[in-house]
Amino acid sequence: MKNHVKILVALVVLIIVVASVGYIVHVRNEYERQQLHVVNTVIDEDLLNSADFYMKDEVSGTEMVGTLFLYGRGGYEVVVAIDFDIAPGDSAGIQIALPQEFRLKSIVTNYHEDVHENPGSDVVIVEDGSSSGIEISCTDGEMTDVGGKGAALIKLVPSEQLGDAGGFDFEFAAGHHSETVRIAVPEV
Amino acid sequence: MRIGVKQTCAVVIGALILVLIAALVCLDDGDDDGSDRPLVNEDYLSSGSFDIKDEHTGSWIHGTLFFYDMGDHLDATAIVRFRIESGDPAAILYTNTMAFSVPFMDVAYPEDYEGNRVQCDNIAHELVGTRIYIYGYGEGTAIIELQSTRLLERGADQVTFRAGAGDEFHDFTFDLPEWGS
Repeated sequence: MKNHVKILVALVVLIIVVASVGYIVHVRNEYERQQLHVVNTVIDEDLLNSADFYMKDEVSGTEMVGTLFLYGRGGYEVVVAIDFDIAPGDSAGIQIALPQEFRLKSIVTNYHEDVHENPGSDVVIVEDGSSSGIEISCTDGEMTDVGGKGAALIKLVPSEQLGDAGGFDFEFAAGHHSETVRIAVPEV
Repeated sequence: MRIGVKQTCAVVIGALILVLIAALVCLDDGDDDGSDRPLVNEDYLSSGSFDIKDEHTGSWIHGTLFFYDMGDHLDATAIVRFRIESGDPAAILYTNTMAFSVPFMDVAYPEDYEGNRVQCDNIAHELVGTRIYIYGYGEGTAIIELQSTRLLERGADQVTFRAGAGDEFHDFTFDLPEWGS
């Protein structure tokens, strides 16, 4: 009888301990959930300047709208955000020639993600000696330029070519219409 | 007893070899990160877009969200173009849940406007989520970096955002392919 009481007490103690631990874990998880969004958004960090641009190939109808963001992070860095609409049959697509002071770090685009398993196959990185560029176009299985809408986010970092000359010139082309977009480095 | 010592030694040596291999693999990855090779659609998962126009005020926004599979969570980048005609704040993006927070955002807004142009609240205590407002007049572009929290279930197949321009507000639900595996 005495042993039965001991076992019973041990069981009760065990249940209390397990329940207490479970409650503590639950309370801690709830506390962490409450803390999840205590985030101070950093706005315009190191942002020096921006430049908007719009261009359209009046013949094919291909058009592009975009914004250049210039950052001062040790060296200069640039982010290019573009939305584009490539006309069907326009083999030129979208082209961007980078200033020699920059090289491509990354590009993400959703252009025709439904056509290819790898949407990145529609992006061609052009390396030509000291200059580099990006081409975005899409062909189907019969090498026909299918056209369509898309967006892209392009990140550029400094190349080994130094200097700014007060700004940087980017050559953008929508179809066969090209324009130079300059982003100025503001004076301190 | 002697066999036990031998077995222990074998296990320790095996573990050391595994640690060495893991360290070499990590070093290789580090070299890749520092290389000049451009990354094309790295970690890209899917995208979604939204358009809103308030016919009364003429204000509008157009946005594209890129989602990235980071394994244990989702990152997202929103490119949002907007035009504010009314002078009222444009609520360019917010989440009704606490599934995403906004660590960074940049706004290109060339129009002159006195005062605070951007307000981003990552609200914790009211459990209503993150809200981003742009004040002023004219056209601009915002790049918004989002990061999912633990409240977005790993492998979730949908995410919902709300966006607004003028008096027009809409919810947008985006389907996600399999992620987090």
